[in-house]
Amino acid sequence: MDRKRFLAASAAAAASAATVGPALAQTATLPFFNGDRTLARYPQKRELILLTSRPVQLETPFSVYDAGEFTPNDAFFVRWHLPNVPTSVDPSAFTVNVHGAVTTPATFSLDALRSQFESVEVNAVLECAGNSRGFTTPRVAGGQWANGAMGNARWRGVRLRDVLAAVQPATGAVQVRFQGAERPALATTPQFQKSLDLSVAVDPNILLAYQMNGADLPVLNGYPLRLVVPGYFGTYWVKALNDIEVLNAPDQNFWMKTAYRVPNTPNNSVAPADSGYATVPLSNLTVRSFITNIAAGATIAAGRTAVRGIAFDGGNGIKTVGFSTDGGTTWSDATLGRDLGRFSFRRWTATFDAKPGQSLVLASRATSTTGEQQIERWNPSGYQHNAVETVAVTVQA
Amino acid sequence: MTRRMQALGAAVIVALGAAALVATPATARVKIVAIQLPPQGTAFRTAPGVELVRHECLTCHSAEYVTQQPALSKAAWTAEVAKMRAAYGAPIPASETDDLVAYLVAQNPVATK
Repeated sequence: MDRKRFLAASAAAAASAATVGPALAQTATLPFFNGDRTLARYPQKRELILLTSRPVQLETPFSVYDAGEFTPNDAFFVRWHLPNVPTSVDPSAFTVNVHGAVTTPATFSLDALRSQFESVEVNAVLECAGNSRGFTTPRVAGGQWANGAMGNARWRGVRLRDVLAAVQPATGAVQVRFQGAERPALATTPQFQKSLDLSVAVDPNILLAYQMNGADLPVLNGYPLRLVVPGYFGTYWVKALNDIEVLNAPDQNFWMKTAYRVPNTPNNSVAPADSGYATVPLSNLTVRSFITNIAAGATIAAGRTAVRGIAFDGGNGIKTVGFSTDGGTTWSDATLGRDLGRFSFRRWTATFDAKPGQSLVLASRATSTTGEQQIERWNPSGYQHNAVETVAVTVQA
Repeated sequence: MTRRMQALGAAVIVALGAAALVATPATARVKIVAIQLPPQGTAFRTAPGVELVRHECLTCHSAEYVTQQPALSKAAWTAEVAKMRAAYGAPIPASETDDLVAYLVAQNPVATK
């Protein structure tokens, strides 16, 4: 019920008798059962929460989201699927091969992409479909993320639409499939491939991106090129993208036909005992909001208190954010910050009177411009979590 | 618990191409961006069956995939083993399933909070 979403202990030094060599292990505890984690420094990254080491998956500490609308590259979460992650890239030799059901297949170097196509930017949230899976009730198997498998960046690259136009999809083309440089350990494991319907793929917001926040992509975020699909869950944002295949029949590969699917039910939600329902591939992010400057369990000073946070949705833009100090019984409108585009984090602020000795349950609730709201949902993979978050605090007497 | 992961910064390796070796200006410079990943940091809990679990699971993923899970039922762990075999092509003999599941169920204690 009380979804404490902050690190309970952000960097408690673990006791160790070591006198020389590595520094003490840093740990964090995520606020759910079995949430103890190691903090780890990876190349081009600050200290992040280690989810898994092979393939590498790193979670962004929640405090990062209070610093601004954009998530710094060195704090941006990392999620790979297959154990052999590319760790050495020669950008002058890197190419992306565009082929399949096209009239003129082509292979583009990075220089060719940059010189042949218009360079554009989009501000967009990248969120893992399983972000917040650790808060799923009842719990489900999978990567046990807290709320740090999301980030917002200014992505620069070329439009997928323009690249597709250059190769001319053939009559009858229906989907476009993307594959990157990560590889499985076994020949029997399916390559990581994701597909978009051609009607989606020609959206001018979708980029083959070579920069985020004004710098080259970190290697662990897909250097030198990744797909950016604003409004869609991260599973489609293929990293180290080097193969684009236009398909003339719907993709039947494991990662589309079996994995990353949700129940084809209202809100993609079911009861744990349900079975026999149809499923559909994941698509758009669900609307969410967070309080970023006050941690669950905090003791705050009495008086006029400022609260702030972030909100985002799957590409319609945020219409309102409500703020509550009584756990959602009553709501007042927060003030929205600058509009950085409909795919971006949107800051919000509010103030409230904290009376001495009070116990308050703070909450935020975003509504998109199409009326989508945050809801309780459950599905067996723990996808699309967007329940209203609460932050219980005590006011000093 | 686990060792601190070593920071290994991204190294930019500048290699000179053959043209540079014959005194041509640096038109053939190639910059390779390379990183080195820290070693895997977490081990499976020592318990009956751990050698089998190491043998079958570590081929494709590190131990955190198991150790960080919530308290899952025998049915849920059985389904996970079946998924590794059927979906990811892990060559896990059917005869090992019971022993693997027994370890997996036991190593994630029942949730107490």
